[in-house]
Amino acid sequence: MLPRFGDLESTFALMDELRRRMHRVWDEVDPSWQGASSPGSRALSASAFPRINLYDGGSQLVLKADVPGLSEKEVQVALNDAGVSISGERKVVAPEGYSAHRQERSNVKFSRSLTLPCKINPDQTTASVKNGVLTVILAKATEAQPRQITVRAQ
Amino acid sequence: MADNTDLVRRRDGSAEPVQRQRDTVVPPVDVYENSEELLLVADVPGASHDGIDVQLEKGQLTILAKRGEETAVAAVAAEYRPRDYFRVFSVPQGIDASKIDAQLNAGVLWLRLPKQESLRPRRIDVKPG
Repeated sequence: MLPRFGDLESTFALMDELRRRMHRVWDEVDPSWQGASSPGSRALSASAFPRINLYDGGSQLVLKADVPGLSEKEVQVALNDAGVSISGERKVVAPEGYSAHRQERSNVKFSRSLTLPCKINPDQTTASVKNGVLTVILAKATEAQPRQITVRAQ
Repeated sequence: MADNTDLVRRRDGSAEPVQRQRDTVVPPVDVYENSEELLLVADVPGASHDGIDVQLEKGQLTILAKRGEETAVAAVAAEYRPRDYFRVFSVPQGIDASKIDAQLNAGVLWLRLPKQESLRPRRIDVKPG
């Protein structure tokens, strides 16, 4: 007879859960991480879903979010004056005919809005999902793009 | 949290350190079972096909999923750090290791661990006497 899967793993289960929670805590308090290499940067709430990273690529902003299990059709990205919002819903459906030993993945319905640090050109904004990661490329408006000033000798 | 070694406890009670190259996170996993197989479903967003390593050895199922993307540009705001996923399960005897099937779909890893033939339930026909 096959022993129950969960029972064998129960010694690890508590540790795993603890580890997972600790990781979240560390992400919130780790100052080296919050500082994220540039002085103007800040950490957002770490308990939100999906968690978002925003990068500045010079002429564009790049937003990344972990949306495991969601396809491009199931994520909505909207731009408005204030910034960008992403929304969607993930349903975890137990496969038919199986009994569940453990369920750690959860259903989430989410909607998050971000205020962006500069103006965006909506026409050149693209969004894609690959391997469960949403990437939104937000082209900066012309006036917000960095401009090189030539320094002349006098 | 800089410790890169992790203790994996063997079934006989002994523990042995396992070296890891990078800091990892524990992915959430669902475990299902039917008469044919065990099914593990893990959220590993950002991992690609070639970054996934699944091993079954001495009753220990090890799942390592590497996140490929590294962004060189500075983050303006950051809520997570892209990290590899790592998790170890003890699996019961009677799993057909050669037939384990792994599929990655939209950042979700589906692992099918078929039970050996001898463990599957068999229907016995009752014949009229």
